[in-house]
Amino acid sequence: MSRGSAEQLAARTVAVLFVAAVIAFLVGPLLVTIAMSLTSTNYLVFPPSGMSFKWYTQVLESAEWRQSALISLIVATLVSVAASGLGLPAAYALVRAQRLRLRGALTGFFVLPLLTPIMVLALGQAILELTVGYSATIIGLVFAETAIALPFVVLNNAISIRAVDRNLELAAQTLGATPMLVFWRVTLPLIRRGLIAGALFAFIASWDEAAITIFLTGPGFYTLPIQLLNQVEDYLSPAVAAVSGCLTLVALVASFAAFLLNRAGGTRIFGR
Amino acid sequence: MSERATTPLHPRSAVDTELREESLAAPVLIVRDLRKHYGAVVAVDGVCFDVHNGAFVTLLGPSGSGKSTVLGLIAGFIPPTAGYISLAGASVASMPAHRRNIGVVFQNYALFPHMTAFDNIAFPLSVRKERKDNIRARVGSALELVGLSGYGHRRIRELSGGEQQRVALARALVFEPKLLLMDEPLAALDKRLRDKLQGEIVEIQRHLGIAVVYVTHDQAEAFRMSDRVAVLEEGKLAQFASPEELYERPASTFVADFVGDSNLIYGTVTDGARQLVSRATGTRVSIEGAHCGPDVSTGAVAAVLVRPTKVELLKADDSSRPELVRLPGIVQSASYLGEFVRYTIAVAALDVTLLSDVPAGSSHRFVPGDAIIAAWKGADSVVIGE
Repeated sequence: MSRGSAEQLAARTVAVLFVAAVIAFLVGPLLVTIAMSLTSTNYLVFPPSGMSFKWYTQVLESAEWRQSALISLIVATLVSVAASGLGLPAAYALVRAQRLRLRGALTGFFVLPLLTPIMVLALGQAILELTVGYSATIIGLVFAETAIALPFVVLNNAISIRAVDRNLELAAQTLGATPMLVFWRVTLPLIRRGLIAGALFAFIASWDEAAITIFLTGPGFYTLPIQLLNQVEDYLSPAVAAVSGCLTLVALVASFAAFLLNRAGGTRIFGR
Repeated sequence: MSERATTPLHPRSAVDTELREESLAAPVLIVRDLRKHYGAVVAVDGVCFDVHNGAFVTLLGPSGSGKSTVLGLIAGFIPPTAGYISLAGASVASMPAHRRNIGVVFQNYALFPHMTAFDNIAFPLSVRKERKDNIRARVGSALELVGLSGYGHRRIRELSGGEQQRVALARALVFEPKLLLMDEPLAALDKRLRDKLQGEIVEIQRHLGIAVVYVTHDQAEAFRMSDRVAVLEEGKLAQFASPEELYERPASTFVADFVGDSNLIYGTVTDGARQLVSRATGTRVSIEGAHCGPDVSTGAVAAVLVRPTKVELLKADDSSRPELVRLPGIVQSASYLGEFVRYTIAVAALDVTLLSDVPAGSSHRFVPGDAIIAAWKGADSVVIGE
């Protein structure tokens, strides 16, 4: 065996070990949870004994779970729309504006929610909304979570807009299109995939947001992750695992859709 | 607008002769003292030129000479630092790009990838809210004009480079602009296709009688296509003239060198503008009979330009035709280039190397090391003031 292939073998071994570790620590807990949700016992146990969907049935039939699922769904949808509506113009200005003062500072501003310690943000939001009186309302949650979701939209859209050849927009202008028409008929169709991907990321960000939400919810008004937390504190029933399974499934579907869109649109965040 | 075209892309016709002569007199594009500064960098430095109706004008210059910037200023992509541009008699100072009615063909064509060829060409008409059947008819004749009938349904990525170029041209012409700007539109194509399209573009331009401002760094392309060429050097207009005048009577040594192969001998004009004293060696060269630029008189710093095709090679003992300017030299190299043989000649008296292109069929072939006399007629040389 030549030295080159020996090195290759070593590199491959390291890579395999690394992937195995990632799977064990990231995917493992997910698999354990989902496996436990399929138990036929009345308590959480691993490995699960028996095989049944009775906990899923119970969760789906529970008014409490259904209500929080509905709240989560509505909030996530509204957050995704609101963050896209705010993030798209912001991203466009950051990428295309010719005489934009403080471009760097503004970019930082839009990404700030990603970098702020989440509990600081949560506390501020909670105090603000208690003062204004929006606490424990859909509107209140949408406001708070839109701030969290905005960076995902701005970054995603900025990448898509940057990938659009500036000459296409200039060409459309010379052909008689006003700047607004250029955006609607040239830019928007070309960044469609990035726009949808950004909206999906915003949806996911809202869907499993708990740190801020916990301050802004109250009795009778819980999102799915918070309802889950409450339940865990109360009693560890396999229903908790079943809800986790549902949460994961929705997030996985949305992520996969965003991934497919990014790949098809050629506007990948990572890699070439 | 009083004369609205009824037939799509109508050729220059015999009607409205009077109107046309009037519009021929007034330039469709006037550029005066145009400047563009980027901080301390001066990209365009006081450029002036006119483009008349039906004229093909090329901006020629090396990269960084500001030719594309001038195009962007005319199109309205970038605001000028100073200067005046008028289109069809009206200043464009406060006119955004989408209201200028100028067709633009981009170097990378800038076709909309999410539309078919048809929809690309229909775009300028649909933003003008033309009727559907009208659009269909005009796009159809535009496709026919560029020889792409039946290609309307194609996606852009299904078209070859040459086909994309034609779609871009059709799209820039379909709304009948007064002026067409083209920014190195053939740079990405191979030489054969480029030659073919050069001819086609000129043919279409003549057929429509539209004014064109064309940008290229390729001297041969500029000469082949243009009525007049504006040579740009570091943001300044070095010369604006016909290809023939540029070649025969360049205004500066930069122009002389840029528009073709040249032999330049630098020095000082002396003896009542009959001789030039070489800067390098002090040797005198006759410039009698040469065409002299405006600022050439005794004492002027100047250069003598002789094109390689005008330099004959005589055997060292040849004493015929004493009227020629004669410089003894040594052949350094001889390259057979098909039409002609290119010689490089070392002339020690002037410390220069001259180029000489001799028709390949001529009687005698010299070889490196031969002592010869490089000679030219005084009338074939040009003296350019520096």
